[in-house]
Amino acid sequence: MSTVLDIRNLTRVHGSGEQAVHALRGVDLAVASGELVAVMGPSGSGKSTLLTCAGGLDQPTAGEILIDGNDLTTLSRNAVAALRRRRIGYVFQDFNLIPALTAVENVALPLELDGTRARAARKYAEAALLEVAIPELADRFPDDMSGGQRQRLAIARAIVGERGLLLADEPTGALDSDTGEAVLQLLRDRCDQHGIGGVLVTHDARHAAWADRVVYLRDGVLVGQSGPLPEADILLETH
Amino acid sequence: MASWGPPLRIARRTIRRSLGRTLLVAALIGVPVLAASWIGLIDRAANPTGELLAKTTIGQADARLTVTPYSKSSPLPERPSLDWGEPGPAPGIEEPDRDPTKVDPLTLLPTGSKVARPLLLGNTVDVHGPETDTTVGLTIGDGQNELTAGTFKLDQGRMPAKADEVAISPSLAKYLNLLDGGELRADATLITAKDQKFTVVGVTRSLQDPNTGTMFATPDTPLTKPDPATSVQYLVDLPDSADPDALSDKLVGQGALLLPRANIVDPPPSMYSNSQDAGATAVMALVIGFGILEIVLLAGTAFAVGARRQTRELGLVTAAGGTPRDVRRVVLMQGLFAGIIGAGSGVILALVAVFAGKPLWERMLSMVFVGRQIPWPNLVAVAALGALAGLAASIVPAISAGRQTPMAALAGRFTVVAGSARLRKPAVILLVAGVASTLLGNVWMAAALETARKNAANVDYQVTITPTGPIAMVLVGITASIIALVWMLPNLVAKTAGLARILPLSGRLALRDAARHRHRTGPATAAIMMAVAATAAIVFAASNAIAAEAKDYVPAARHGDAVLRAEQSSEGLMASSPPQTQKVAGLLPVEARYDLGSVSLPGAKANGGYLPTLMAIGPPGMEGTVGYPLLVIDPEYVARFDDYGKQAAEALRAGKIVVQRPEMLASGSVKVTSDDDYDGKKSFGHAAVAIAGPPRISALQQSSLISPEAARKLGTVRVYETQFELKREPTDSELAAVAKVLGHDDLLTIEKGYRSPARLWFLGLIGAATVVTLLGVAISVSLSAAEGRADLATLAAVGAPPRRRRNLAAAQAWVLGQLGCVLGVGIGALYGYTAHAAFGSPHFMVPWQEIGGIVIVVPLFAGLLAWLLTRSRLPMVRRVD
Repeated sequence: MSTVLDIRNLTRVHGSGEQAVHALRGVDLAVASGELVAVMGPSGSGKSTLLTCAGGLDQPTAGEILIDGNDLTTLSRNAVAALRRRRIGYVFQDFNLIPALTAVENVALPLELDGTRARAARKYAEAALLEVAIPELADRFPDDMSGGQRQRLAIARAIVGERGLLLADEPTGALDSDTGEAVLQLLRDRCDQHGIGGVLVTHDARHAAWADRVVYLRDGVLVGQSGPLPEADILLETH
Repeated sequence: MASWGPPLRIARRTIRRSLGRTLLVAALIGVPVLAASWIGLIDRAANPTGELLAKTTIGQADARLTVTPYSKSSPLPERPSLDWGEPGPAPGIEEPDRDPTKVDPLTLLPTGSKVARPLLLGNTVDVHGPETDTTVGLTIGDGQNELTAGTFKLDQGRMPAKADEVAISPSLAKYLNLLDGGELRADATLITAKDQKFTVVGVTRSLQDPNTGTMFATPDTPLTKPDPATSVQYLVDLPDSADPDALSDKLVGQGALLLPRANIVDPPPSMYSNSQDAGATAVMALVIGFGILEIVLLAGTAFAVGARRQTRELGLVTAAGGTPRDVRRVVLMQGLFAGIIGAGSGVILALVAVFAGKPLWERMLSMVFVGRQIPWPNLVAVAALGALAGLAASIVPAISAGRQTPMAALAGRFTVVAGSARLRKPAVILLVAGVASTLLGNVWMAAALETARKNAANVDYQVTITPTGPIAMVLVGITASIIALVWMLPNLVAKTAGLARILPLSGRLALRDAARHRHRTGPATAAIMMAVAATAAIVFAASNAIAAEAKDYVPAARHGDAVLRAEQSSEGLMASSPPQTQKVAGLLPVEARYDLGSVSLPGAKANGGYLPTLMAIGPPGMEGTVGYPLLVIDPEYVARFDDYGKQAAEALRAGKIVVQRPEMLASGSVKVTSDDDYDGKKSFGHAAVAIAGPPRISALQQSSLISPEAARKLGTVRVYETQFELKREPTDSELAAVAKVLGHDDLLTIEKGYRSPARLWFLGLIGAATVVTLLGVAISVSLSAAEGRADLATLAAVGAPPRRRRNLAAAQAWVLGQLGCVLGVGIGALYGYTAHAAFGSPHFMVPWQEIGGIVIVVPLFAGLLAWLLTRSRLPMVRRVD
């Protein structure tokens, strides 16, 4: 299996001097294709920062982020944007859908921004909506959809096209447990069936159980990792 | 190459979702577009071109034929057009050698041609009115002939077909009480002062002067006799085989001019066509440019609000893989759409306003709109400018939005690098250079005007000069100053923060907030500056123009006297007749009555409606004005004017002519001749004296004087004005009674010295400036509220009462309004200083009251408005959004 995401010695410092806050300190993480990695840790441990840096939404202070061998830290803004359009799918906790666009237009957005003709982009988008089981909502606006539908839509946008890396930041945070489970199933299937590498940020052990591997962050440092969480551990932790 | 689809889609839907903001921007663009389109449409309605112009001038005819009183005429130097009058006589012919009314036009035209007399204004006729006789214009022509169709507007009935029939204008019908519920009475008749009776068969209007009291008669009317010395015009229908151009060439040799329809529809190039004045074009370009700049700055500030409120949505575009260019495109497309909506609405509303309000505009502008000619290229250009203004307004917000990092945008933060608060050196240099160029241009212009005035020292009428070079220098200077100020305004706003420490809390916060957010308060202040500059410039220019007018004003009569015009005036008012004058004299507290008139040689004939009159002329080679018309005036009238009056009255009683310039005399005599006697063949000598320094009464300043007795010995005296010396000022009821007799309330005027006509305009301008200023301030304050929510929340959290928030909004509105007003007045003053030189104002007038209103009242009012609007719980930004 090839490595989709290779993070090396990643450091992110907010501010400078005495006010400097180290969000990440020398984090190393590799994600292979078809693998789903969960990132856990307490609030302020740097989970989301790790994900935004990996997705090219934030610039690290030091280190390397290799996606398909391309180091994000050395690329121009436009090149990073192109990678986000083509290779990286991002799922946010609060969906981040564009309210001015319909469901199918939201999904087609990365493709159209990449120069795909509107009609072709729509076909790909409709296929993605079918995959997340909401094809009937194609022409609805996000404001007219439930939370679960919106998150499915966000996932559809994240998987449309030929994405190699799926980054999900607390994707079930705004959903009830049943809907959340369905969303995680979708992510898991995507990794298994399409060979996509996935990173799931969560603070819930039950959700982390969907992952092949769990890494733990504390104060911006990777403090450990494990294989898939056994069911008994999860039950212990949750009760 | 990224796609335009998503940005277009997002922009289109965002415009719909943010309807309030879109409408605000659209209105900012649409209102000026509406005004410009309205002016363009009205101008085209007043000055039609092409086929419509041909229809209004020669009706359905193929050509217009002018038969002159000369059997041969000189060829025209170029193809005939409407700009040309009639050709002069051929070399060797000095006197009219035929009666053009006796020439059968069909003998000049190919077989199968048809002719009709066009409707032309000729003499005046006195008619019996309900109160007394009145004088009306007489238009003669073949109104029944189809060739004249389109050259007049028939409202009711028909045009006269027989000599005892007439049609009359609506104003005359109303004055003569011939309308019954707006309809012409069936038995309507008109009786002239000579008791000639005519059946009124229709109500019609002249296209050029629809509100005048006019009657329309057939060419064989007994009301006037043809003048053998005057050319006659015909409308001509030519057979299909005729070549109008060839015929035109042929007829010139026969003392006739044929103007083909094609030359009216598409005028041939002319060496005399009006060339655009470079100065006027430059001023117009500058006015339009500044107008667009003002729109861009105001709308740009509104867009900045929108871009900030859209931060997160734009961040989502970035998160989805959009580049900064995609984000810029979203904002730019919103600007373009808003511009298109505003410009399109402006043009459509102008079309609706002009055509739906046609009767109103016709009445107000005293014209008839014929057809619906729409200057599409002009309207499209205006609309395109409006749409581009929308696009331009969104450029800076688009660039700012494109610079947002994805993380900041997703978090809803709109970060702006404000840059240094220090003034930029290039901007300062540009400002200094601009002001210097303006002042130098003014010095240059003043020198040019002074030289021109010295050259024309002997000419006693006002000299109008347009020195293009200095004006261009001034305009470049003012433009540079404005650009420099707009450039440095964010830094100037930042500089004001230094004053914060001496202010109370609200003022301190307002100043520091304005400085901190100078990237947006700068443009908002610039918008206010431009709005105020335009108004201040007009106020300065109008004040100085009025001062110049007041300086050059020459009263028509002695202060307190009444002046009654006795002739058809150029404004198209109905004239007063001798019986009317007598009746007016009985209605006013008259101490003495004085008639002013002209004198014509016995047997003098009117030419084109003008009767040649006598004038005193100086010897050949005399500098300045050579001829002074003879004013027939009672010596008692002149005797009232001090020493000059006593001397002049004595000379008039002795039968002498009084001239102003001694060099006009030769051995106690002055040469007198008719004003159409170009070669002096009819001149003769008359006893005269020269008395310099006539009083500042317009008639006395421009004339030589002669008593009625002496004038009657020279020819026929014609009274054109009567002045009444009054015992006291007439009461309103006396003036109302006079107006009833005259049919108008402005034929009689009481001389009260110069009176400025511009007071209402001033108030209107101040009102407009206040509205635009407040708009700019409101947008800026709303933006401040949107960005300052966190600060306000913190204030509330630490116990600040709600009043503090209102104070803060009010203080910020005042700060921005004050800075913008002061700078705007400065720019306006630069304009005004130029205007004072150009208009010939005696000194630079500063309209302190109006400027004070702008500088003090407008910002305070803005602050008050902000204070009131911030009172409710809803932040102001919600009102704008």
